[in-house]
Amino acid sequence: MTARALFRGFTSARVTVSLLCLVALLFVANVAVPQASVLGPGAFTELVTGHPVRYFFLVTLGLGSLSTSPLFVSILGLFFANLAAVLAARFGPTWRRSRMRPRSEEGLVAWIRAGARTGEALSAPRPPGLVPARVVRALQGHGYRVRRVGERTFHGVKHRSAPLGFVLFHLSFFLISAGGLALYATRYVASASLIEGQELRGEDLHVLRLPLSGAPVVQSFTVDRVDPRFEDGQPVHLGAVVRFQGPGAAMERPARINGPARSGATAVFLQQAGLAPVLWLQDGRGFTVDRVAASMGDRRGEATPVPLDGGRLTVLLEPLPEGAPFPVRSELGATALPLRVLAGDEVVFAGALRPGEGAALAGGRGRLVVEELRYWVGVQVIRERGGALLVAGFLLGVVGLVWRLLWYRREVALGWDDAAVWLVGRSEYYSVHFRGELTTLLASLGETGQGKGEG
Amino acid sequence: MSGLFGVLFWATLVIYALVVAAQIYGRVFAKQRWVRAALVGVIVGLTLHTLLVVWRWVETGHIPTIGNFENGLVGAWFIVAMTLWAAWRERYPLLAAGALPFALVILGGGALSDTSAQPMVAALRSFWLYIHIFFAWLAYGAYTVACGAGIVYLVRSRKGADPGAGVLDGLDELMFRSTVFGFITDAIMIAAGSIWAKNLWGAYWSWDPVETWSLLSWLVYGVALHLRITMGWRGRRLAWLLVFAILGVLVSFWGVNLVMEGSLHVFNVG
Repeated sequence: MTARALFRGFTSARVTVSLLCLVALLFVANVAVPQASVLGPGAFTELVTGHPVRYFFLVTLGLGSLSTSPLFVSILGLFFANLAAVLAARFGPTWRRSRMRPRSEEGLVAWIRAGARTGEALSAPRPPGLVPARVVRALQGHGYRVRRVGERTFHGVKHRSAPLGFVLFHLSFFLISAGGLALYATRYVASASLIEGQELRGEDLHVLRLPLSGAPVVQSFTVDRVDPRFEDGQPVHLGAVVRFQGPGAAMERPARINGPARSGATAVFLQQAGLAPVLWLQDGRGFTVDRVAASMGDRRGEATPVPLDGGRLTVLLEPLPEGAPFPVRSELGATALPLRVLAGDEVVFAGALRPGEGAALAGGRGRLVVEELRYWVGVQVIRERGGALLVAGFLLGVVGLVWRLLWYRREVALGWDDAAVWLVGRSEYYSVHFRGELTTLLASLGETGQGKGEG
Repeated sequence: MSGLFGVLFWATLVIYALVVAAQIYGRVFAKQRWVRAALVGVIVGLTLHTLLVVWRWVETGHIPTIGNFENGLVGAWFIVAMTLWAAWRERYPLLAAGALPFALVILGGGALSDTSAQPMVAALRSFWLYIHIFFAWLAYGAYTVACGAGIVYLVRSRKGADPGAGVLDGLDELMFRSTVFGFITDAIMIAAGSIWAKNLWGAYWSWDPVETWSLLSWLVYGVALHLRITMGWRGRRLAWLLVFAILGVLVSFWGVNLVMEGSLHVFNVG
């Protein structure tokens, strides 16, 4: 078999459809086979531990992380190779088809006559006063680019460049995959929990994913003016202002759920929020012993322990009572925090304190003041490049589809003699619909429009 | 569901069911009048259905997009509206019998879930959500019309049946055009969903089951278009393919709602 025949076979529709089916099967497998990314690392490890067969398929063969497995990557590679080969093979003919080649009068007349014989051509009595200018105007009015080929023969093409949509649509896959590869290679993800006004430091970041080139330097920032809102107890908004520290002046960027704050390639996503009381421990004379800001855990969780004075005291911040609404900013000053203070196992205070309130601890262990109540926010810091390529690919793909399949190419030949007008045409798609278009076009020739050149 | 809303909802469901029954009866017993007259039932049902969508919108203060019930309500509206449009324009009244059962399944499934009005949580407050869902409805409506046309095609092209002049060609083209329309709007839906996911979760694509399944169903229709355009599949073969392809769409439809529920946990406060 020659290389030419091999190439022709590889670019055949049969191979393309087979590869599409193969990719579809992989997608089914991606849903049907347990995936580490869906289960989470803990559950996935549990699933494969002690099960050699599962381990072989899910870990050794990589089917538990299908989207990055050698099998998936190989088949996708084959798919893209086929796509590239098909594009290379079809580009020339597609380009030629998108141009309006001159047609000979003999050719068009033969087409009309053949259509008349087979019944494919439409005909109507010649309208009185039919002149070339009216024919041109009628065809142009229906979107055709018109060429007069003979005295009574016209050739019209509508959306002649539509075949190029095929190229655009298939090129979009390369753009999307280039964007995807760039994102994969450069993606850095870390999470952090910050109290209002606290500046992010490197050690606050819990790195979840590193780019292939190693850890980037993440721009430092603070989160301010956190704004949670509720309706019927449901969180309907979480916003904040993120202040990025740059080499020059700090830049303030608004952030909310569904709207991350961005600075260059870095984006800060707000994920959750909670209360963060500032606790102030004083000695008997009112001097400061310790002062910390603590992030309270989820309201459904356990009490949050906060060590004070080098661990000699522990403040247990109890979750807000079940059913109590989460306080919005205007309510922070009046929110009573239930808490207990332990010295070892001994409870030295139990009660609820509002911001600004304090309580003496038993045994002369000083005084605890809830200085103020702030919010903390859980953020995800993502730094990556390639998103613009991906979005451009989406756009190109949709434009290509519309161009190819909705603005499909149509071609007509129109001629007349003393008695009748003949119209024959072909369309790439939707022949029934096109037949209706031809009927309308033929009828429009009989309409007596007054225009330039019509005598 | 409140009293009157519930009555209207079930009345709509019953009307659609009667339309399907009347058209099947008309087809089986060769009473064309029943088939055509049933379209009036679709108009009445769709009018009530529109009222329900507007009612829900006014009641909740947002476009009904939250949860199985609201998605079913509006998703089924698109299916019925697009079916009616195609049946009317293309003069295939029997299309309703092919496509409306899917609207019934979606509406019925929605009614079995929590129907109480929910506030628009933070995760769902996105311009991209509306684009995503709007194009999803258009795509699923078009795919359902394609499937309905496929069913009608299969019925009319049986051995011994008299399809009528040009009817099969018209149905074949309706299947193709609806698939093209669905494929394009589905592509926009996936792209918009990906951009929304980036803004919400920080990643354009996470290979989660819902995303993968929606891509899979898009790919199946892509294969159908390839088969039609480059390999000349038409008629009964294409009809069978489109009838089976809708199953993937149904999975995607319910899958989307699963994502909505999951998204509520993105914003844990307190």
